[in-house]
Amino acid sequence: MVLTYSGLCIDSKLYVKLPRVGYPFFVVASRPTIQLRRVGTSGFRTGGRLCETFPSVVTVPAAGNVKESMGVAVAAGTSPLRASKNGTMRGMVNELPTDVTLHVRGALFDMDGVLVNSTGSDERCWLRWAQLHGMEAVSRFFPHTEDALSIRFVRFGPILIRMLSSGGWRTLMRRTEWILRAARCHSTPCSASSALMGDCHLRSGAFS
Amino acid sequence: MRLAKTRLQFAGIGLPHNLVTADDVSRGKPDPEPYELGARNLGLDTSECLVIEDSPAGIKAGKAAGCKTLAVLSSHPIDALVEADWIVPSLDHVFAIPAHDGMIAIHCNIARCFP
Repeated sequence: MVLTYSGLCIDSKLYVKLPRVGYPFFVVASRPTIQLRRVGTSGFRTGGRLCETFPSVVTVPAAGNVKESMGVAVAAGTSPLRASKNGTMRGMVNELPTDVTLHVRGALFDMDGVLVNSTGSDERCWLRWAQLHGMEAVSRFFPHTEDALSIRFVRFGPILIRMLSSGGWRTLMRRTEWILRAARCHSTPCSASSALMGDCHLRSGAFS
Repeated sequence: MRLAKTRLQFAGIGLPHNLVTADDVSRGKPDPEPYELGARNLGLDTSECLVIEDSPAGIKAGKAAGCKTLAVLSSHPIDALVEADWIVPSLDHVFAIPAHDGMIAIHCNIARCFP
């Protein structure tokens, strides 16, 4: 199997460890083509030298992770590789971003973060709500958690517990009002969302 | 529902014909229920739909529902979204053109694809 990518070339002599997956990674040089030649079942041969065994298709630093060093681009840090169920690693098919056309009958849009920038509004609400109830809260960006924006209540005190145990759900639900108020001030369209929604119109839906 | 409508309205985006909110489902993302319900509301099979998402939980929900998934990088780093079938930097790179037979051709510039 030979995979050829245009624009980049893997140089097997130089590689860096990929911290997250623990596999040796390649240095990608800016030569005209890559040829990844599969050797046996578990390796790739490039430029005559057998690379470390690699269970599956490979490579691909995200653009932001590529840095130039002496004329070669070094893939460093995290790379968008992922492990599939059977333990093999998968990488992007296309090294260089390309144009794609998909044919579908329906488009289902997520709302927050796709159509509307509302993260700031949510955050402000929760922080104000916490303040109102005498709680100290911090918001932090956790890039590797399920939800990027997590609000942490650092000092619950007994307040929240008391509220919950004394049927204080109503007070808790008041946050919705805060969010509604903030939504009016702080909701802005994500770029191009309106036009795209219009183009998809009859067959579209938004999902919050 | 009110929140979703308020946000769309104040962002100047026309309300879509179909809107599924947390009030309509018993299990939220990453459960496939919201997108299954969305496809059903459109009278379509989930495999005929493209889910456009920005969060890992949303992509999981879309995949679990059997939809194709397109991620935009508005809130999460690319590493968190590699489960998506395609990734684009933003909706600026996405165009929808009505195609024959009731299809929509969705054109993505500089998309990254996954096997």
